[in-house]
Amino acid sequence: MTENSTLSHLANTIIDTCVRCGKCKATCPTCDEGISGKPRWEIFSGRGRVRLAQGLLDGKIPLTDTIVKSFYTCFFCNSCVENCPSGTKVTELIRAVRCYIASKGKQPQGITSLACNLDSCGDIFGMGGGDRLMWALNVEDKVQARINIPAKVLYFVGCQESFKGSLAEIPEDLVLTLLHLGVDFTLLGEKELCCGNPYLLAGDETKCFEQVEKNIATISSLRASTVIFTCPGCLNTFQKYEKHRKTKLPFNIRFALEFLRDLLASKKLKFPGNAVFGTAVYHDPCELGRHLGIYEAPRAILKAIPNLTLLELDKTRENAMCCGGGGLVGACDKDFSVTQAQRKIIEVLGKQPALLVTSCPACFDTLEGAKGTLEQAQPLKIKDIFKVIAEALNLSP
Amino acid sequence: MTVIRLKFIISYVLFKLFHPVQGCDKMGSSLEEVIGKIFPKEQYSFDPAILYAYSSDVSQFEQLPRVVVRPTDKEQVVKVVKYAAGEKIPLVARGNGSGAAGGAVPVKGCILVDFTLMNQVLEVNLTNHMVRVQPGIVHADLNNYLKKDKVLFPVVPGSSEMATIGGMIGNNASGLKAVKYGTTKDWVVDLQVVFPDGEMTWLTRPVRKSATGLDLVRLMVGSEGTLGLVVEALLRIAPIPPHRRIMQASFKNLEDLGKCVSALFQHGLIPSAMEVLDRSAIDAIHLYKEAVNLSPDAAAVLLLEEEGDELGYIQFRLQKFQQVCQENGAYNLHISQSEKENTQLWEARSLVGASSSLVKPGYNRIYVGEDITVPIDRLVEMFKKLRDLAKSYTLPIIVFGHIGDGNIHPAITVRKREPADLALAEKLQDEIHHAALALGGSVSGEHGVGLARKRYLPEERGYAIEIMRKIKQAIDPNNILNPSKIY
Ligand SMILES: Cc1cc2nc3c(=O)[nH]c(=O)nc-3n(C[C@H](O)[C@H](O)[C@H](O)COP(=O)(O)OP(=O)(O)OC[C@H]3O[C@@H](n4cnc5c(N)ncnc54)[C@H](O)[C@@H]3O)c2cc1C
Ligand code: SF4
Ligand code: SF4
Repeated sequence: MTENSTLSHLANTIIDTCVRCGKCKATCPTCDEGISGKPRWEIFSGRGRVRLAQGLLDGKIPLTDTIVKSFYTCFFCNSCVENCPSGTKVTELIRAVRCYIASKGKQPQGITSLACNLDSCGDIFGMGGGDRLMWALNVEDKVQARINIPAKVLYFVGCQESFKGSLAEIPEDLVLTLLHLGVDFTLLGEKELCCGNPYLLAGDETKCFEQVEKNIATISSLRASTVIFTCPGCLNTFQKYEKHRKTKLPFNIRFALEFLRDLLASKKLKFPGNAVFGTAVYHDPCELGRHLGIYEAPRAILKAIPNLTLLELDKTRENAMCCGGGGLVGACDKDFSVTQAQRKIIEVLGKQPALLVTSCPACFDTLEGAKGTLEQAQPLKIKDIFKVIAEALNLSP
Repeated sequence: MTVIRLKFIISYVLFKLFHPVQGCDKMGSSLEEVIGKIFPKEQYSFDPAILYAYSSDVSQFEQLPRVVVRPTDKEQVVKVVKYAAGEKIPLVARGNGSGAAGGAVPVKGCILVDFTLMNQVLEVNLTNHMVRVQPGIVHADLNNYLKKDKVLFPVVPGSSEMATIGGMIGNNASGLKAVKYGTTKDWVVDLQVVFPDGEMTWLTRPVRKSATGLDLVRLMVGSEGTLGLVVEALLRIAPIPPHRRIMQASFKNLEDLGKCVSALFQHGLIPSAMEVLDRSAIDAIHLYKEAVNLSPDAAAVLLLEEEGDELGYIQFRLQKFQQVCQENGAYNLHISQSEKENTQLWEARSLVGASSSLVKPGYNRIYVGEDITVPIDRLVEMFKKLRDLAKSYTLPIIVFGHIGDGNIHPAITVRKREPADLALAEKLQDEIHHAALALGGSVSGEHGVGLARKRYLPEERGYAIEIMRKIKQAIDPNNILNPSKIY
């Protein structure tokens, strides 16, 4: 054993459980080279990453750029964990190695910039709280009265939707839907902070959970009993906090689609049926599916929408192929992320749908970005599920 | 002395001048330069991290290669073999490294040839019922490709999603369906092989049978990359039977189950798959996939699959199995109801070897060569021996296997960083292997010899090992292909 104390505590619990069977290699999205489908080098598979972690732990290999690339190209899609017959917690290990890499100052520049922004401004874009409501430009009048008021439901927007113009319609559409349904809800506005997920992906659980605690304190002051999310990453972070700290949050946490699915079941949510969507494929986001186990709520809602025929991909739910948007890979190696998204789109095109629906801002962003690189994908429409819901309800700002 | 040395140097230089490595004209002298001329830069690596990632398979052995190369075509293979032959550099072939005996573990200073980029289906001939493939294609990918034509390559290893056809040929792999379809050697028609001198040739003709001389195809299958590198394979394929059902029978102990298997064979009742799981193996499966429908309390379970064109006939056959099983101590008989149940059961069963790590927290599976085969009529004795060993050793042993072929995998689990456990596992492994040999069995049913079982071979094969060595010496006089393995 070597100086690698960050890793050594994982030796018995994680690395040693791996029998090197290669099952995770078969499903690891980073192992296949884009559209060609040719397998990349072993180090770009779950098994390869576990092996490298072992080499580092045992002091058999030095920390090189190749190793950094291997660990920062993992999408955290959790397919390895889902499939591993021996229960190896590959993603936990990868997070720990990322933390170790950061401690050695070898973190990729893209990640360092995100972390700096987070440290200084409380969000990965370095915008600061003042700009948190940029997304609400079109619905400002409707949103203003909802900021920081006591309410049963609190909607946690998340950094991506808050600051990325291309994603602003996701919170906009949910807010319109909540208003349409008469839900008693509030927003944190400028007081919302990044959930901490990027820290977690960079391997720093401590900082991540500090961030969660700050948000918990603000949310608690508004006495909301339920917090809803449109970003699976944010929800996952709160859930991880609850699990790892073995604590019960002072409120329920739910994905907004589950909340809407309940309203659908109680017939409070009804779709009138004048919008026409045609055939649609639903992409299971890794963070919502494999990480949080939410597969049915989006399907229940899509199936309830008139004039929308839901098609299933061959690989769905637990087996769904990642879109390449996770793990902060886009910030370190854009090509890796884009080629994976291209693979995903090509898989979807095989079903010839009119529409590709997803329910994660990172997936939407990644798929929409990659669509531009594929000529054959131009007729395909890509929408976030909250947009589909708002359209099915004929809602607009 | 100086004169002799000078003469030697001159003759060496002259030799090199007039015997350039064929196919590698104008190559530089260092390994790095030559490899760089044969392969584009994305197809080879000297990077320590990459070398380390390729330094092992599933077994406990590890060794760094000098370089890993990833050919995309057979001409590159020919060139690298010719170069290695000239320089007497060892070459080790690698499929996906899922082998459990160390066959694909590099040897010191070797060029490791990773075949996974040569993964294409080249031709499907439905009239001849054959498929021609590159060796790096993964078994499951091949069968997915063939599915549209309702055919398959019916030798199905538990590692179907990992094992390449080249690796299956190397190890003469088999698996869940061996009781009906046999092993890889029964389904290989012809092979194109690059021999250690760099010559490339097909071994026979693309016909279903041929009686012209020695069966070199069979010689090559199971030779673990020690005689030649397979660059193309012509395989037989079979129709996919449209229906199948799996019958599950519970037993109070493994010995009763063994007796029942003998009885089934005596009645001439041979299913399409016949698998055994002891209690801990069932637990391992449930810990991996909770939903798998397996007995919650049986000490052992026998799984019998029957497949065919007519469901009615399958049911008729299963009734016969049922009768014999009941007469031989089976209880709680259950027949699968859907294809979903079948798939779930086989998928989980396939990976139980790896799930064995889940049985006792802190104890993880090590592959130390537990792949024994005994004659069907000695199964009961083998199970008794395993029960005794489990009592006298403190290490958990998880027992499962392709019982229809007498092939048992007693999986040993250890605390990997406890030297005492590793020493104990080594002793236990010896006892298991010697027990199988004493019963007229073999130390490997399907995983091969590699490094893991080499020490048992003289006892198993006697003088035959000498014949094997002579064949190896004749084909590979410089011992460059996977040296130190098998013989
Ligand atoms: C969970 C699990 C389940 C398994 N279940 C089964 C099972 O049911 N049945 C079974 O038989 N095995 C099983 N195995 C073992 C293993 O998967 C097989 O031995 C498989 O055939 C190895 O294929 P590979 O591509 O990984 O080959 P590798 O391990 O890479 O290589 C195996 C051997 O073949 C040689 N080789 C590879 N390619 C070539 C080539 N092109 N030319 C010449 N030689 C070559 C190598 O040098 C080596 O000696 C299992 C393994 C695991 C981990
Ligand atoms: S992490 Fe799990 S699935 Fe991957 S090689 Fe190891 S044991 Fe197999
Ligand atoms: S999380 Fe996904 S990308 Fe990362 S190693 Fe596992 S399977 Fe591969």
